[in-house]
Amino acid sequence: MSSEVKGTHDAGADRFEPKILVFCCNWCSYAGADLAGVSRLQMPPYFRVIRVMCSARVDPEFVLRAFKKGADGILVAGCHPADCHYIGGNYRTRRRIALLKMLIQQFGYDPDRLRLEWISAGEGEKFQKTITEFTETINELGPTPMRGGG
Amino acid sequence: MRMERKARIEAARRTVEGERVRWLLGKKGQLTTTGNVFGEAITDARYSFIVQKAAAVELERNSLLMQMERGPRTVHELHDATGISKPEIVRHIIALKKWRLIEQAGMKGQSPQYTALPKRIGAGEVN
Repeated sequence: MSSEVKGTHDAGADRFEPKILVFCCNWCSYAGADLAGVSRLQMPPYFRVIRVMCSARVDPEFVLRAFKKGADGILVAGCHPADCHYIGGNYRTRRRIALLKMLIQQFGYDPDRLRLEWISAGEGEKFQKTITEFTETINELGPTPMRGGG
Repeated sequence: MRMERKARIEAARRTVEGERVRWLLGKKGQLTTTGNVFGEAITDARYSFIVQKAAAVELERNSLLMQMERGPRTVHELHDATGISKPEIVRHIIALKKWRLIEQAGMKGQSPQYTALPKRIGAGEVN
């Protein structure tokens, strides 16, 4: 993961190109992302997808380590509530993300840099819309405080 | 001098890895539905308040602990490094001493210095 987040600046361009990390659960969101790709939906190219078996696999440490390594934004995508393949994984994720949003504020990060979204396997369009909106949000927020941003 | 951002992220990482926060996150369903051993359940709002407060306290303690891992520190030095109020630091020091995570290492003028103890493995050793 760390190598993916490193080198987040495009040295040749002045334009800010955000580095966004997307954790997708294997059963819903990853299939949704796949559907968005197969459907040829246009999306900003600044995100990297990491597939996990469940959104609850995303340890809070992963998120903090990614921010430490210079990620500008992190999106965690999981199954809709009550649709989790592992019964209640997404409820755990919701609790963790709420806590992480509070923690990242303590060291100067905007809580909007971390987002949790429920995306099912049939919601390719929702995946595209979420990525587009999140990229716009990160563009507005600018580079991560780790790289001198706000 | 305030703590650098990387150190604060590290303190946050320790906080979410810590037993107290992990336990609270894992017990949400039980605490808000069936309740504790006395059958006392709490509301979702109360649960959120408890988790946020516990995380905030743990974050401060981990920040202080990280400072004391670098060497002996007085309360004044800890205040300068972390920005946490001195009465609050004293409360944290009392708790950290109780859990044998720190000990008094000496005196600097009239102020006691505290240093972090090496981590112990297993709850049985922390008695």
